[in-house]
Amino acid sequence: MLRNTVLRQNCRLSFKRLLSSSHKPWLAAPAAADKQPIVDLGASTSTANIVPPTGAAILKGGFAKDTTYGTRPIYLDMQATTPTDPRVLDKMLQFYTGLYGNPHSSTHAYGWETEKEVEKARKYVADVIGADPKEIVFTSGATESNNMAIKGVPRFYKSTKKHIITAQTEHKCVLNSARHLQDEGFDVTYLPVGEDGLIDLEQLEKAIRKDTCLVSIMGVNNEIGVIQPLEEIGRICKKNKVFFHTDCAQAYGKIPLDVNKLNIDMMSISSHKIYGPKGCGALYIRRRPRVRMDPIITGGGQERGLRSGTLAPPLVAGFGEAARLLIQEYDFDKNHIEYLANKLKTGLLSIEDTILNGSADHRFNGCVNISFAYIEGESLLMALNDIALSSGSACTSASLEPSYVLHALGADDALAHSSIRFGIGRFTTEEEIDYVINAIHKRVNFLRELSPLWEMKQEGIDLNSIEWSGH
Amino acid sequence: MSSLSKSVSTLPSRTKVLGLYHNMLRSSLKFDNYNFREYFLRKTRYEFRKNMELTEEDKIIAAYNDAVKQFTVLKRQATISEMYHFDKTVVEPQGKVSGAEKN
Repeated sequence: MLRNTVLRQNCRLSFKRLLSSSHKPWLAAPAAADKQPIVDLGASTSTANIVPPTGAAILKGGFAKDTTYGTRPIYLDMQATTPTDPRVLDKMLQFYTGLYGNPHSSTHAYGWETEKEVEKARKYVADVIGADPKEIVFTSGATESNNMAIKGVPRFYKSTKKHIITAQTEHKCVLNSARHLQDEGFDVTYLPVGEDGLIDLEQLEKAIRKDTCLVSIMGVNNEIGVIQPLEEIGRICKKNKVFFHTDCAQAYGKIPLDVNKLNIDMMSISSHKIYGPKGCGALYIRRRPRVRMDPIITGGGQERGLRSGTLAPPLVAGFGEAARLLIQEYDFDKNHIEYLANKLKTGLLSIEDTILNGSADHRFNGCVNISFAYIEGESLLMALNDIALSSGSACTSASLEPSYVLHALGADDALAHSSIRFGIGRFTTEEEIDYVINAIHKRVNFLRELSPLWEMKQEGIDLNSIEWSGH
Repeated sequence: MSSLSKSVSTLPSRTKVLGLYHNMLRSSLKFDNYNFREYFLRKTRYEFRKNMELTEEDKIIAAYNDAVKQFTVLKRQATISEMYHFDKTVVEPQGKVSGAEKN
């Protein structure tokens, strides 16, 4: 933290120094740079409500914008959400124009026609993971599915079992559900992860106790994109007769998943990560051997009594169509994403002092997380206002808190602060990736020129050897 | 145009297949959204090129009918896309359709 404070202060100083000297080569048009409200910006940084400079005005000298092009940023945050596929919307529109029946109304044709569509969607969703349609319960999203599984199963078995296991890098909704159970008197083990972001299977096996009820490990990590060894975890869980829940919001349809081969008992799925509508998800719950749980939402007994409430047929049908397209387009999408991800990775890792976070082999290609040393992620994101990126999960991007996932990997604060996540998807184009590589190269260089730490590093000073003075 | 949006039960002629191909490309080009436009252009080209290698009659008919179904969706969605305008992205030249240059 101390290091960061020093960095920020010095940065501000050198910012002013840089802007006042117009002979620097990267300030292409000194006259134009003089016209920028530099002084205003410098003054406003000391006040409480800092308004981010629109269009990163101060950075204009480094890279003039081409006004013959549009202004909307390139979308590279596919882990946060994906654009809804037009083919999905086409399916959904039927339900907003004609098919408005309640799928649970069993006495008339309006109910029957929507029910038929809902069941079709259920089959498509199940097909992706080799499940039976009856094992799919529709929810409002993966957060609800995670809550349902993590709270529901231990609560049902609470008279005999009191322990659950999860990992430190899980999504916030899994961790918070687990915390909630701790308040109810359950024991929770949070497994640490290695530097590559993967859990240690031996540690998992050791952590399992006689009263362990549930193991919850995610498929693909939302921040660093590593794939956990689900098959091995499933095998360990089956051997020890423990239920295995996996949060596959980021993995569903993007990596091959088969619930029977992987011995998965419960799987959380999200619709809006697979080009479907927002506000819909599903939980796969194994029927043989049966997984029993206390429902969170009770009422009319819809969805096998596990999730009462009328389904939203437009969302469910859109979700189903998105799942159908996932199977249909699997190879086409996979090859495209792999090609773009490799291009992006080689392009960005060619910048010196950059690190790819997470395992290099066990990863989903569509999520590339890179740390740029000697730069603050937030300032890079500000400079990259023409690319929609995130420094981690959307849940924590509002605060300046460094990513807990990168922390769990053993990255220090500075490196965790300088990480950026690139999400590539079905609709990303090669042109966009080329633009991003070029823009990042330019702006990383520019920001590093401002950084006193970078200057020191260039002079050959080992930053770890410096004793920073306190205030 | 209308005959192109109907499914067939006999082997479609070369002109018919090419007509469908061009219509699908034209519909893809109509998308206002850059990413959707580029995706459907890429996808349509890929599918038709891949299906050029089909030799069995029933497979060709099935592929053609499938494309007809996709074409109707594409046509509708392209029209909807034209109704809602958003700013162009930073890789798109203003007032020009970038995909058109490639044709």
